[in-house]
Amino acid sequence: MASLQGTTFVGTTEVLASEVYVSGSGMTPWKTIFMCPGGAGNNASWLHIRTPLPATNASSGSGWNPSIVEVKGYHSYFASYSYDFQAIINSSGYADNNWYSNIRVNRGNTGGTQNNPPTGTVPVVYRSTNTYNSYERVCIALPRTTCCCNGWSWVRWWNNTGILDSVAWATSGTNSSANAY
Amino acid sequence: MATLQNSTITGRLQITGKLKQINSDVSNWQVLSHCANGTDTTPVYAGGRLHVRTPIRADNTHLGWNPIIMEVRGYHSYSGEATHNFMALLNSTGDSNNTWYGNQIRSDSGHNSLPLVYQSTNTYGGYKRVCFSVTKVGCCCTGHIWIRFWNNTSTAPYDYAWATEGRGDSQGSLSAPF
Repeated sequence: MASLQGTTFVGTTEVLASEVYVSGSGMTPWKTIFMCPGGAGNNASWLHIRTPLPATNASSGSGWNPSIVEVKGYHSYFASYSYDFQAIINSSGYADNNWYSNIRVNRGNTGGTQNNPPTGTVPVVYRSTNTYNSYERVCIALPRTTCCCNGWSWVRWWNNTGILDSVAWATSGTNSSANAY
Repeated sequence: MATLQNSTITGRLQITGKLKQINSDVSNWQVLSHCANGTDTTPVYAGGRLHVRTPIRADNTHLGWNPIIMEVRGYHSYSGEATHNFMALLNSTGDSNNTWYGNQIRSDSGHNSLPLVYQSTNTYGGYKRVCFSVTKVGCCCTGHIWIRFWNNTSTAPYDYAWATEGRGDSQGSLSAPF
């Protein structure tokens, strides 16, 4: 692996990797999520995304140390649903380990038709009930069209980005915004 | 040309040209000046609207049943009289009728921006192109606009040049300069 210091590239620089991780920025690269969860969830009205971020104080990650989770995207062909929000997630640093999820910016939309723009998505950010690699995880529920139609969403984190890698991302489709994980 | 694998750069990375993330789903920002080359000189400096022609083909040779998001940010002029911050879905049917989906702006938190996304009337390099217009002040004052695309971008045939045009039209009475 090449290790460079204080480097200048002159001219167009091409990166074939899917991610450029700027460790000192406090932000992750975008994670791309296909909006068709597969299996029985193809026709579900909600897409649930399980992220790798621990949602607990015990993980020495989010206790009194909030992150922003930012989500953008659409589903499906005329963006019946569009996603563009930021949530502050946190857990208390006390032993009670309470979970906080606050969507503070939300410009997404839901419903409507091709010629009648939709209004008002209500995404949900929650903590999983189950544990994955020993920790409950931050999860996101996005309303979607009930078909396996074209659509993508992108997720990234601001702050707290160093503890993301201990478990894989996952998606699931259900007909409820309630906890799927 | 140097080819590196799994590289770590410690400290400051400076790129004097463009950074192309070939396998990314998000394109780089394209930056344009907000002083259009105005053929419409009434009012002077083509005030009213800035029209931008993008290289994206507005038909099913690129978009058919496979939408992309176009994101736009920017301002004009010194106090941001028009400030742009919107995302639009670009799509056309994949059927032979190849219908353009129209002005699908799904997020817009700009100020006096009044964005409008449309398919060019004329063809450029053999294809109609995705165009949009936004409000501008009637002067050649400082102002910039940035555009990027989400999804389906790494293989996008960016096979025609960007262009801008100033017009004295409005969101409700499009002059369709392209």
